[in-house]
Amino acid sequence: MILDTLTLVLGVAGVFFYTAGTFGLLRFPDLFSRLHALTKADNLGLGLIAAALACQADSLAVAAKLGLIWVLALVAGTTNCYLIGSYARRKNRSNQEEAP
Amino acid sequence: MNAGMILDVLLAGFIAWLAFKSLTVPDFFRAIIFFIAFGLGMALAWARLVAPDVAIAEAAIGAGLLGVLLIKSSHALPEKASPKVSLSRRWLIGFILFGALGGGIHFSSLVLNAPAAEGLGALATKHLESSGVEHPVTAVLLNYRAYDTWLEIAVLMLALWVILAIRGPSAPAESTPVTKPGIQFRTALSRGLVPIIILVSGYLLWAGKFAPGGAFQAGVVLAAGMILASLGGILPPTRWDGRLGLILGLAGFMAFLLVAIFTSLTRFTMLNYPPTQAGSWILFLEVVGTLSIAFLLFAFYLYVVAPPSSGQTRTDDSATQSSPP
Repeated sequence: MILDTLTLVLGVAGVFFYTAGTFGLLRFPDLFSRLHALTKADNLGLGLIAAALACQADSLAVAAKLGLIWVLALVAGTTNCYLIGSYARRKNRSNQEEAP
Repeated sequence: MNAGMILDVLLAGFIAWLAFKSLTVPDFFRAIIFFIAFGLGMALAWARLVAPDVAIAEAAIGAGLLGVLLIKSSHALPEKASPKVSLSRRWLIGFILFGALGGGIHFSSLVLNAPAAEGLGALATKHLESSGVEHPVTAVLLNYRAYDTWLEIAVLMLALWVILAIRGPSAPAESTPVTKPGIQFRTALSRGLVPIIILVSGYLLWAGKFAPGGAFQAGVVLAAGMILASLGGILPPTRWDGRLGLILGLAGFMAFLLVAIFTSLTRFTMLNYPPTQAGSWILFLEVVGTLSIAFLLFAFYLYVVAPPSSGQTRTDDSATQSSPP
């Protein structure tokens, strides 16, 4: 009973964070602020949803696997964010150097 | 109308929208991103249809590997496709007509009370004990229809030969020089992730016996690990189109060929394993198949686009251009 309510609460919170992240992706003006919204809000949303599903898991092993999935998604998201951001920064800098 | 059906309708509409956008967006890179998202949407659809084997393969090949291949070859294409507005309207009409046709067929089958198709699931599970594995999908792939799996590996081999033929005489082995900070980060990521990927691939290969998994899924995951290792610059600079490549590329096909010849001579039916030893034969074919599939898909990535000009090694600029912005 308490696990079910916990799943519901965590799931709704996770969906809220994902929605916030998507709004940030759509509405922020700049590439870097969009990256910020995507990585921070979406990773937290994924963590909350993984926690919600872990409450429904049959065994501790399944819950640990869900946590591992979250960690791997964190690593992938962070790496992508860093690579995109550093490439964009390099391109901005080279554009500014070429302009004058 | 329960939550599952609402989710399915939303998912179907979302997948159709992603496909439409990937066909009509004028920028090639955006189209590729839409295609990758479409692949992931398809994986979700397969999961909703309770087909986890296909979902894993679709996510890995359709979204992951194809995305990497498309991105790598996108810089050999012209900057922007010519924006044809009438073309997107034609695609929209096509999508609506096709959706109407599909929906009409589905609902008419409901209205006419057509009996649910039996399918071959019962037959597949009936002979599961003598097939050597405990998972019906693996039994179909590697025992009942092993011939098809053999031919799929042959198709991969043929595709690699065509790629190499189009590419022409080989250039120096491609490896990303580790000089800029961004590329060093990639190296650190590869060092951390590639061991995990190898473990996951091995687990998928082993789990194929009793759960969704098997040779193709394990091979694709291993290929992704090799691509990641090559991007991070931690792969040794071997020449993958030399003898090593020949052995790895042919191994899967030859393993099936040897088993086929042996079973034709001793049991008078091709690919008919002795029931008591079927498990070990399947494991042998799966292990060799995984290595072969992984190498073939990795070689697709390596050789799909010719280097800028033969005789020039890849400079830093081309390295940063070919990494996804």
